[in-house]
Amino acid sequence: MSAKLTVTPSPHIRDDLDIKKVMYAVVLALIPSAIGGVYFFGLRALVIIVAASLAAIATEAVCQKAIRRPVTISDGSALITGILLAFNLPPGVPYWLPVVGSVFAIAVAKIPFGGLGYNPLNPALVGRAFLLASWPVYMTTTWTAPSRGSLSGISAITTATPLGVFKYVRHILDNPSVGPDEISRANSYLAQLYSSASLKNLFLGNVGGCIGETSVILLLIGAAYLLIKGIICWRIPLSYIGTVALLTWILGGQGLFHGYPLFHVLSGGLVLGAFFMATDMVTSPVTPKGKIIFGVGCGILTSVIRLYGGYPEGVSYSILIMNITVPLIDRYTRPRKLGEVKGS
Amino acid sequence: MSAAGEFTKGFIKQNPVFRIVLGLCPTLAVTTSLKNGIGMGLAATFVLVGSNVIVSLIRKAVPSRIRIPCYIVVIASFVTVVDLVMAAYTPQLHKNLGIFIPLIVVNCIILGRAEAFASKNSVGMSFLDGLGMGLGFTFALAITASVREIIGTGKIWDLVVLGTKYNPVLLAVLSPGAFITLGLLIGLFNLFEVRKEK
Amino acid sequence: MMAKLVGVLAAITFVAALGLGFVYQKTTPKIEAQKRITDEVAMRTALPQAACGVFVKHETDSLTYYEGYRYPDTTGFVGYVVRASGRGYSSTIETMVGVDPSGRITGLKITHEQETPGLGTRIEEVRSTKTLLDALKELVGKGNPPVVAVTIGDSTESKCIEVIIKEASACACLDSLIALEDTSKVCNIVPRAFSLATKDSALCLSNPALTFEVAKKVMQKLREQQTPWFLEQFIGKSKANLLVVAGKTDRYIQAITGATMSSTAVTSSVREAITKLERAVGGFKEEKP
Repeated sequence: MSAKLTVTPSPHIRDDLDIKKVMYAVVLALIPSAIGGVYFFGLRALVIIVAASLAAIATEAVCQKAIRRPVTISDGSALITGILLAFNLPPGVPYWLPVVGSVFAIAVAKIPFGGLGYNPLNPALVGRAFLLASWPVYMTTTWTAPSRGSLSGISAITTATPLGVFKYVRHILDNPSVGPDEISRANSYLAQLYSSASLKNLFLGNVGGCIGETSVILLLIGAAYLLIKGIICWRIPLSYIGTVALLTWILGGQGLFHGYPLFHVLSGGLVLGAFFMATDMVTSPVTPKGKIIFGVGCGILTSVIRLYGGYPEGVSYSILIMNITVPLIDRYTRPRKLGEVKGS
Repeated sequence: MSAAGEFTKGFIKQNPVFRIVLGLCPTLAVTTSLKNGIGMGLAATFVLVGSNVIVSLIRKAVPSRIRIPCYIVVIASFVTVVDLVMAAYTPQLHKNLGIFIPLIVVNCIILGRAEAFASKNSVGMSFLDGLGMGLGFTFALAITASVREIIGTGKIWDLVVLGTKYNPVLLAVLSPGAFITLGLLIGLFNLFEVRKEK
Repeated sequence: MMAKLVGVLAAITFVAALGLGFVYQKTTPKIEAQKRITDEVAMRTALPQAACGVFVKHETDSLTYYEGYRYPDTTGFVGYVVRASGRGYSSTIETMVGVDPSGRITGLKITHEQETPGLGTRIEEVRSTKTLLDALKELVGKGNPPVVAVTIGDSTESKCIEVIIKEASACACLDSLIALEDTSKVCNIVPRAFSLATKDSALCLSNPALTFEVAKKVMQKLREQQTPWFLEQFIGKSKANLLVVAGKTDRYIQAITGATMSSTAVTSSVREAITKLERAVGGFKEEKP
């Protein structure tokens, strides 16, 4: 096929921006958080990030060689998958875990669908979902406290992440039969979680969590860079985070409108997910209206999982579920052609 | 086709799961262990052989307008027999297979063979067809189940094969693992067929 | 034409009904007997201290529960057994729960469930450690022979073993026999606990020491495999700790991956049943620290 006639998958934008530039800008935007992860959780975090990235790149090269397609590892997309996967892992996982996750992400979620631009699901999140389903013990219990703080961001508890504490508290409050002692303890935990000290820890990243998700400030720095460069747009992150804030405010407490949205916005992987994973060009809608629908959908799912689901955090599953709906969203939010009659 | 051909076609060439892609519900659901897979396969084989023979016997007496209800009555009876007999004599297996035994009634392979084969062929041929298809189904379940059980638990038939250090890929025994494994196996079968045709 | 259609369908249905009636008649007693054994075994597994004693049924308006006694003459009260049932993913999961007088769970056994194979049904999955290599070695007779083979000597002995093995599913009873450490009682209890025929009990009685030893060995072998890991987590917990969490924990109940609904059903139904029981018996005795 002649090079001039190659039609790449959407979006089709006339700009000097090419895949490579976009990808490496995203890598650059992730660097502050990576440094933050290493600062908070030690060199282990660095090893995990490097292992995941190398495994992703190597898997892409091997798979493309095996099916006799051009090897495209230099475009940086596999590197991003590796970094994002590592960002979504607890710092205490064994070193083989990120490697297996990356291999699965590339070899099952990306290459069989046709490689970059054709994968319906975000490969890094598929990798994470695979690891979470396969080795739940490593993925939910190997949290490490940041070097200068406690795992939960509050002093009372040292064994759970902030959202883990929140889930436990809700469990107790929803089951009053467990006894008054447990209930009063749960209420005191809740008050501490919502205290300004706890929120400050969450904002700076001085709490337990996945390697790249804890520090909101560092993620926002990277996100600001991408927004200014025009690589991501505000629609998905804003509608996503806004929906989570609204729903957790309405439904997050005992009784309506007693939730504490700021805690939910700052904790867990919401900021990382909203700015860096939900905005993935390949797996998010193209149309402006579609982006808003996508963000709102992610927000509803995340809130439902956090408040009512079995897991403390739901960002990755929400984005994956919404990824599946992208073709449908794009189809129904397609701008009408000039003069096109509705319903034709 | 010869009698031997009718019997053997179900294994590879017209394998109900890998080639015709029928009966996926039980295939995906019960193949978490080899024991369950084979138990389900044999239960379905019994129903398949029984219903094929009866349907073939009554094929001339049944008017075509009510053939489907008639076949379903025959199939449902055999399934109920299997259900009761298993509950009485193999309670553990019955417990493991749970709701999927009654669901054999709606297994498309069984109605499919009744409609496509038994209603047009002699009793003997229908018997062979049912047996071959049933064993082919069992074979497909056994392969899928073996892959999933070994990867997902490190065991086969409840016996450890991958050593105690092995950290099982739990996903393989969960529902997504069923889809991924089956997809890859069907791909392999297709590759095999394509190579053979060349 | 219509008459022919109706006639054919009616005839087929009639024949099918006849066949099913016959099979039903043949299998019903067997199925019911199995259900009885399941319930009996479940009760004794749930409250192993009373495995060879008796259970006294109590009924209040909302709850049926059993008081378990260590000895057949209703002395030595050891706790309660109560039935819990909760809606799982695809069925109602019924459980027998044993609770000691202070409200701690002594054991539990699922009596009915039809959850998804490989997911929900794993609430009944036991750990197995035997390797394929072991099995092959045993098959060709080169590995460690199974415990049963060691002890088979004269006919009395083998009959005793056979008796115990036959009822191995009622291992809770054996467990308690061993806990009693009273050899002379063993052979009196075995036949009654398992409702054995007089001939079999005579065989056991003729060699009490051996019966005891065999029971111990068989039990040991069985215990390694008997309690499903999910249910094992409940033992020793009080109702305050009956919450399902993802991930490993000593304090709460770890859900089965991919079967959170089934796990929650068991846990919350057990908690509910214990709460009801507490009300029915007028509160548990606080444990002395």
